[in-house]
Amino acid sequence: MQKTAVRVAMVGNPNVGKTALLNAITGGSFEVGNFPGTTVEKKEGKAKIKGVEVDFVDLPGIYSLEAYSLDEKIARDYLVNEKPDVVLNVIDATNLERNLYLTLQVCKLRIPMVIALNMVDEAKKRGIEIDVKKLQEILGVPVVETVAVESKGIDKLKNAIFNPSVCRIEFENRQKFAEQIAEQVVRKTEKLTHLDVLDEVFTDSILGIPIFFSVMWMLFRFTYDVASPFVNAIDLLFSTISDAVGDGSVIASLISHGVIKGVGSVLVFVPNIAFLFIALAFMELSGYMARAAFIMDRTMSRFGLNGRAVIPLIMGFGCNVPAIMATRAIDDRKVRLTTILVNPFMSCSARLPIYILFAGTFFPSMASAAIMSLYMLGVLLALVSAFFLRRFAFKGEAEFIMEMPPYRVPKFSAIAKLTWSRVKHFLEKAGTIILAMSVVIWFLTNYPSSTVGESYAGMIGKALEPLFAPMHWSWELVVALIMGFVAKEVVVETIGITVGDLHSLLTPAQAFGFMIFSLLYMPCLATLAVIRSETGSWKWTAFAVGYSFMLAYVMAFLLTETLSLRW
Amino acid sequence: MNDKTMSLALALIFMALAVLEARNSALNTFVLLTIAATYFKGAKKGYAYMMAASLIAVCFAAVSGLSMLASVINATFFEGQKSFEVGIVGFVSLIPLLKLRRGHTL
Repeated sequence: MQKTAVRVAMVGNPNVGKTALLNAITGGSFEVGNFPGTTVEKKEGKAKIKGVEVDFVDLPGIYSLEAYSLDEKIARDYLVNEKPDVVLNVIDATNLERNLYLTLQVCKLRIPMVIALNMVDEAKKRGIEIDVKKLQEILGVPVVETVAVESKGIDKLKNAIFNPSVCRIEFENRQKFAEQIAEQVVRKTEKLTHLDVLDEVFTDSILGIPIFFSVMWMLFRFTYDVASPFVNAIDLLFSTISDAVGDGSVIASLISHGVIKGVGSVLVFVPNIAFLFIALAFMELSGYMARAAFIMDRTMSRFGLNGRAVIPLIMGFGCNVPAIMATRAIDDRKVRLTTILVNPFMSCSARLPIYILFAGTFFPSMASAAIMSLYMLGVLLALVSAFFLRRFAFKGEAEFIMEMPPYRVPKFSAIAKLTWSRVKHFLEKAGTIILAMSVVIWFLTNYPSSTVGESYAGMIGKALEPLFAPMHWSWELVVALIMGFVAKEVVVETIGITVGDLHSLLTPAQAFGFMIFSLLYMPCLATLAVIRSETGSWKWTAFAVGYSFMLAYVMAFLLTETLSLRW
Repeated sequence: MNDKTMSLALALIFMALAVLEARNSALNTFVLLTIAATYFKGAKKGYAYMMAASLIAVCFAAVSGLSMLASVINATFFEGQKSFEVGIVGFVSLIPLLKLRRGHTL
């Protein structure tokens, strides 16, 4: 007979390797990072240990159970209300004392506990030795040394999960008691690693920012220039398949002009997106991303945001949906709301295909620079918008406390795993929303007439064309923007189906205006849904739509007019 | 050659590369100048700055090398022109990087 399932709650400070441990125990592939706040909601994984089903719940990283921020509240509520069978407290061996503050708080809940003393390899490298036996004696709970990313100590930990103990120590001052424990069990011969000394340079008050911009420029060149042969190869593949299918019948036309051309026009950019994610994963896992947040903090504070807001903003370069969810780590509600509302201005990867298509067509010799300028403009407008929101709607001070993760040489497997989990999301979208949209667009562009200008799409585009007349955009581009509301990739997909030669529709200045509009106008449907759920307000969701559309319109018009003087 | 002299020499090399690249790309020039400035500071402050400058230079050289390779592939199989990247000279920083890692005790 099968024994009943055991529920294990994984608790610990941010960035101690809880998710990596969950992956090592369950064989899962949840996203791990090297900056605080990678997990902002519960993640669940299952494993069969000694024939028993064990359900693991990975709670967001927290410093205390006092529930100031939303992620702390999620963790505390789970422990108090759901009452798991075992608490697996994950502790960073390189910073025992600080981690023990939370451990002692969890002790008070009297839930059977096991401690995973993680990252012992890094602690040793830094000259930190921990007397595990003594720590076990003091706390009265099993303590197992682990290196989650290398799956070391996992078998021992699995055994320990079946022999947890209730921590029964009594203390008055948690902080003092944690200090006393650390004094008794930790032996330190402080050692700096070669990577540690880089901190002085990367956070340098003068050189830090130019170094950050240099790193960003390398990232864009890697994303655009290095990925280009892969893009060309996939493009060639889809064109060949589309030509081979032909358009002899309605079905053949649907497949070649609708599905293959539509989905293909988005899939050709998978290499760019994968390369962008490889570079972001490298920055994140190496620990540089947190330094970027630190050096930008002074600038951010001038706009009413703080360092905690930087991470959701940088995450927005990947996808705005998880980025907005990552704002849960911001304990100040006003800063959190501001960060949510400006996040859609951070250019997500779905917008990258639009830039690559237009920059490659109109600015071939300086495509990387054109793309980078759009990303920078997005950041600038996010900051300016944050400034006004904080000034008029969400007044107050913004404090900044952020922990610097250690520098690490990222493992190839970790970069590959992180990149794949993000690219997979894009591919899933291509196989679902984008595929469905390609059929819809094909229908709208082929009925009631097979001449696009007289089709439903043509009618919609022509009806709305006057609204965009100041920017001189044709109805085909207007249709693309409307379709892009579902998902931004669909803009390129629609253009792929409706437009032959972009040069015949736009001048370089108008093309740049279109790219700016695509960057700023209206968050996609999924982002709007998450803005609604995270703000809990229709008013702010409507504001996000109205404000971004207005800003996109004004910026696109102004820049088109200005650039028309030269191009 | 001691660390500080080497840092100064590399600062001058990257400065010269920045001047060479100025006509082609403002952003590549910016990166080369940043590397030169970091080496300059390394000549004054030592190990950490020299190590960081070398790391950035090698990363930039790697990106430049890969871009060159991409341009060759594009020119051969698709449309496009082969391009030369000055940044590839940054591989010269591998020498101080390896020397520093082996010889420097923290």
